[in-house]
Amino acid sequence: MTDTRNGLAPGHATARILVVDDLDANRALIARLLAPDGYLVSGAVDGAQALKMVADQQPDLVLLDVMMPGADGFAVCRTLKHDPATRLIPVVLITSLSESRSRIEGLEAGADDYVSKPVDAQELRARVRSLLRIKRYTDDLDSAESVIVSLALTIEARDAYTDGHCQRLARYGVALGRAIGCQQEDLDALQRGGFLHDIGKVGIPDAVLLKGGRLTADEYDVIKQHTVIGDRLCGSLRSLKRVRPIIRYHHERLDGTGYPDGLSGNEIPLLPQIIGIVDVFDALTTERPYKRALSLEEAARELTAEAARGWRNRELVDIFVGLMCESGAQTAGG
Amino acid sequence: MPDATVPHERELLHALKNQLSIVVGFSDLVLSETPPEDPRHGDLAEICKAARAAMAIIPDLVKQLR
Repeated sequence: MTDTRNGLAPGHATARILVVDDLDANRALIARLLAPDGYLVSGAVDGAQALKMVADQQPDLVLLDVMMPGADGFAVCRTLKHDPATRLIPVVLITSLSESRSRIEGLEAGADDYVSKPVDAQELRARVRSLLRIKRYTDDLDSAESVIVSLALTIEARDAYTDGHCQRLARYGVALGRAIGCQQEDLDALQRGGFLHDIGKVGIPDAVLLKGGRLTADEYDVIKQHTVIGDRLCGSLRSLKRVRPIIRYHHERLDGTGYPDGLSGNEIPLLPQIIGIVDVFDALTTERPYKRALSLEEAARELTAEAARGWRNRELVDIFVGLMCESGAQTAGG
Repeated sequence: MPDATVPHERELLHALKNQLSIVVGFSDLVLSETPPEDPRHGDLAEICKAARAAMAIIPDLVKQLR
């Protein structure tokens, strides 16, 4: 028979659970109720200590008493769910309140589940087990994504001239997206897209990718394939669904002369258009083997010319150039 | 002003419910670890029952505050 401790398959690390309650007896009770499942259980006496322990220990689940002196459970839950570093940690609120109003407040604070006092041992254990199972899936997805991002940074590292390109693209892309009022999920996609847009270059031979001189037509065709390769590479990751169009279409042009699919006008989604613009800007303003770095004004002129030629959305280019001039002026000003 | 005392009393009732839930929790736990043939089993069951009954009164007390 396999080891079913924690409801986990063998080889999984023991789950860590943080119990937050101002009463020692309550924390001890919860720890006793969970004891048969063999988790590592630690305790915090108030919201402030809880937030510190979450940051230090990164628990897999938080059991949170609602009624505590100082910051109550709702406030702690809101803080945890607001912070990108902790929002994926499941939070179960434990309460002696039974009114539906409190349940609603708990759900609005982002709690994943709810247990009423007196806590039923079987119910508590079942809820904890099920949330830990979900936590493990999100951890796996998270690590799949970090592997891809590491891969993207490795590709960037192959070419010394593109150092910092991914970080800048993510920053520029999010700035432009925010300026035109994109929703948070689109801003997240732009952030990831900044890092992953050239992931497909992993499939391009060094001899072509790093060639110092002019590319032949055949070699250029090989380079173009990085958009399709990257799209395929991320195809099975659901969390990258919104990022894939950026990877595939960021070299398309509005007049249909781009690659890989020769899309034109509105056929090109907004997010790839954004990354396309900031990608060109970054290429222009950094030094490459075959060219010097252009100044901000020169790069702005070139982008505007590309818009006039029908390659890029004029409005997006103008807003982005405005943003760059603003931040350039700020940097120059101090 | 009689109204000013209400929030305080509500907090006291929450604290009472909180303490009773500890009694219920631990006595349930010990009861589940005590074999039925153990002479203390019946006594423990009485503690659990009484603590639950005490908790069941609290919602009525809260209602009287309104």
